[in-house]
Amino acid sequence: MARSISTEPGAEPAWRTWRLLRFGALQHLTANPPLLVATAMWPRLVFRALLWVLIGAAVNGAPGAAFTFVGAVAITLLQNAVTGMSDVTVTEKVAGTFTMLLRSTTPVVWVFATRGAAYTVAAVADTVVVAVVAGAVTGHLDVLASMLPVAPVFGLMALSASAAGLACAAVSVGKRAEVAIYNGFVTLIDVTCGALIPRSALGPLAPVGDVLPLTHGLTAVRDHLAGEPIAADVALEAAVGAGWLAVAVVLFHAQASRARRTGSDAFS
Amino acid sequence: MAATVAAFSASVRMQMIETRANVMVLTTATLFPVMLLLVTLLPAADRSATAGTRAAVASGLSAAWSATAWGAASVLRRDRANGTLVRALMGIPDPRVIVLGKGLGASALATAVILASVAATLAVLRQPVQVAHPAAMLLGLAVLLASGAAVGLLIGTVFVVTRYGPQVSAAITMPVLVLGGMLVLPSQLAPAFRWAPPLVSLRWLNEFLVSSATATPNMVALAMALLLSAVYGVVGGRLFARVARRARRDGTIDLY
Repeated sequence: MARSISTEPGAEPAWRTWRLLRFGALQHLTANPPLLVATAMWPRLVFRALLWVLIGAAVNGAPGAAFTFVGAVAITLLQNAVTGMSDVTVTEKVAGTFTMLLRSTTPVVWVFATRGAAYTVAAVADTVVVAVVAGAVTGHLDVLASMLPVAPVFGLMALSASAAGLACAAVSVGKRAEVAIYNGFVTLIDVTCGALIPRSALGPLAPVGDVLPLTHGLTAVRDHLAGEPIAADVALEAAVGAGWLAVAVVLFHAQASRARRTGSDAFS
Repeated sequence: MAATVAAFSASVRMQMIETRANVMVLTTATLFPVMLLLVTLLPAADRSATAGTRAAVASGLSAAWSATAWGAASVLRRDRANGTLVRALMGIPDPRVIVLGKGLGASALATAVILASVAATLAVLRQPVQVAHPAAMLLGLAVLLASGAAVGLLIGTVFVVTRYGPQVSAAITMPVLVLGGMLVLPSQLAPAFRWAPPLVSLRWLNEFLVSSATATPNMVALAMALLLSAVYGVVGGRLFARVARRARRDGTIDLY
């Protein structure tokens, strides 16, 4: 056991968590320098949102544009919450530090959740930037203003997407197919969550979206815009997030115990 | 001349072998066209063969551009990671021949994957399309590959002067999709941006391919695409030769 820094009970886990959060943030800043985020990554995300809104307008006119605007803002979360989160474990694997983290006295899922917390924060920041800039460029600031009261729902979606990202990170690591896994997962969410395609038009794909993050949160946001109650959908979004967190806990636990037994994480 | 051709074909072949060994780089080429097609077709009221053809051509070209920008980026990045960048660009053959060949090899495979992906999605959706002039469409495809290789030279220039090439590549991909006149109609853009689509070869290729598929091939559009590709190639070639010469002189090619 590492030497405790305080005699107060519970102080050490809190200290470890603080170190993990801090290290995760430093790692995130190193991989994504603020200047680069502002000059290359945010413009890319804004243009991507513009593309979706303009496609929405080309397909269904002004209502189509307003519909895809709301969705495009929401799926902006996925870039950091799922792709970024998955990269946390992959980066550790590449750096050769994954094995050590699996042997940590801190529960392994907590290690990666806290290391990835910076990505959740970044996801929210991306979404705010995209909402404001794309809203101003495409003339949807009025829609954005009416979305303000449900801003916490976007926070909830960031958390549920991060939980799914954490599960995805567990699956991605060490498969040498991580790019296919997390891009496939993000595309699946993009298509089925009702962000860009109305869920009524999805046909047999619609039930897939029911168990993915963003779907119910987006329904809640759209219901709010239509003046309808949102509580049930918010609860469903939270449940989906909790479900993905449980999947992540099980996957990481299985991975860590297998790695302790067989040393398999040093291969593949 | 024979040596140049040999270096070119060796570059194309090597890149294809390398891509096949790392098939994961083809993920985006597989997924992106599917997503674009679903987003443009599923919510649309008009699902006629003409509308389907337009959506398929525009989605395929958009995905091809995305794959070209990423392909040109990842080719040189992997060369740098593998330690082969210096040897590839500092040999006796002109470095532009090597970069052109590698870009062509990468985008040929990506384009094949995109075509398969588009075809599979159309089949699953039971979406009818038109193919009025298949020969003209094949010609358009060849011009697409040539145009992609020419743009690859331009993008490759960035990779020799900065380590943040992948981010630059990511940043330029989306604006071209918005302003390139494929999925987004030029008439949708604000007047201040309407000058942009005619400068993008894909806008003309889009017009040529749609006209070839649905009516009579629009040869003016094809000529415009060829002209613009030639301009990209000449400008890209000059810029690349310049940065490659500077990198050789200062010994900075592997520095960034």
